[in-house]
Amino acid sequence: MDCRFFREQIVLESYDELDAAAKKSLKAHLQTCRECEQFQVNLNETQQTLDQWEEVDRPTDIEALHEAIRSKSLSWPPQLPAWRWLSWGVEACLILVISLSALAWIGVGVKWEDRGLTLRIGQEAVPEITAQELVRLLQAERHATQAEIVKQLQGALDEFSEQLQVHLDERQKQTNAQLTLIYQGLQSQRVQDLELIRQELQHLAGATEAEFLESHRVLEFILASHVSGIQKNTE
Amino acid sequence: MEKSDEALMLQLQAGHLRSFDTLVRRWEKPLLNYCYRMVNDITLAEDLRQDVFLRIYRSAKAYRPTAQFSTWLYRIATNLCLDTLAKHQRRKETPIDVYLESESEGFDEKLVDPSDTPDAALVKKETKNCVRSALARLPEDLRVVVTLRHYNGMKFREIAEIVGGPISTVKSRMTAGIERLSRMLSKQE
Repeated sequence: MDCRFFREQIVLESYDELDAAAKKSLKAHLQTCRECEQFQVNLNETQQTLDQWEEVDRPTDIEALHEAIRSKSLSWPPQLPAWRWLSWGVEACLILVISLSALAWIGVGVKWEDRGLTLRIGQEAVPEITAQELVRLLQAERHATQAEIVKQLQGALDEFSEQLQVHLDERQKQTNAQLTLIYQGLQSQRVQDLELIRQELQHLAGATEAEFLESHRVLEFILASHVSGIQKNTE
Repeated sequence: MEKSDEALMLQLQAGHLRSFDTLVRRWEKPLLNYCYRMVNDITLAEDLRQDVFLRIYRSAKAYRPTAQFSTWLYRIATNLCLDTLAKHQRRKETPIDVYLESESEGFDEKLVDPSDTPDAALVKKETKNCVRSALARLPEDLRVVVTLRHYNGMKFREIAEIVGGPISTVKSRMTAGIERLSRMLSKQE
């Protein structure tokens, strides 16, 4: 163990906070280490010098203390000068404005509504309202009669229905065009395949055995790919 | 038989103001000296002592005798002293150790033993000033530990509770504090 450790032990021993085993170990170290021995001497001198700052004695003014207890327990709100309250008020307002701006900046909706200050985080939820309430709200907003609002809503519904029908017709046309293309493609492919078969059959009339086998393989391939194409298109 | 601090606090909780007075009388001197050694200004130390007692009175209802009263008292005092020192530093006011030769000097004169010879009285006063100056120049975390252990007789375990740290840190701070004081005092001699 190094001297650093034993110096702490010397300090502890001087304040009588060292157990017997540690004391024994320290004693053994001090017999062999002149520097630590000197540290112990210096420590004793320092402690004696520290003791020169004697204790002072100034009794507490108990009456004043009681008075302070009474005044502090009664003085709420604390008696402060007006400028202090004013400065606190200004600081509070500034903090509020900065906080609200920061919230708005990070995407929290801050709005002043009829019910007071509203904070909104994320998408605004669409409130579930009844048809009667909707009519009432629209009335309140636009100062319209109930009949006018119903008429307006009916008009909006008709317009929406028309738009939907146009959209459906358009989709129908697109689908028909796509189906026609597929049909034409299939027909074209079948015409080409039939032409190939016809050529191969003509060729077979005067063919050698090898040519016959080759043509047979080509026909099989055409038929297989034709069947496969039909299956894909069906899917 | 003298009542324990903890028993007096429980009586204070029950509304006996006399128990508070007894506690004040019992602790006024060690508390004043602790604050004085921490802030090195007797007037400030008296104000701090009053603040500590006020806090104790106001917190009496919340007091639970799970820890020693002295530990609780010195924890409040330590926090107040450190806050005061921090305020002084923030306001960049006159460093507290400069008070040495000003307002506190006259007060210490009264402590000189009349039976001392003029030379002995002068040496004694010089030594006191050296100690005050050295302690005031000690970093606050070391000053708390050295003052509580050397002058107020608190055990290292209790100091660890007061400062809210491990006992090993308290011991190493004590050693560091004593070593620094030793160096400062030997230079001044």
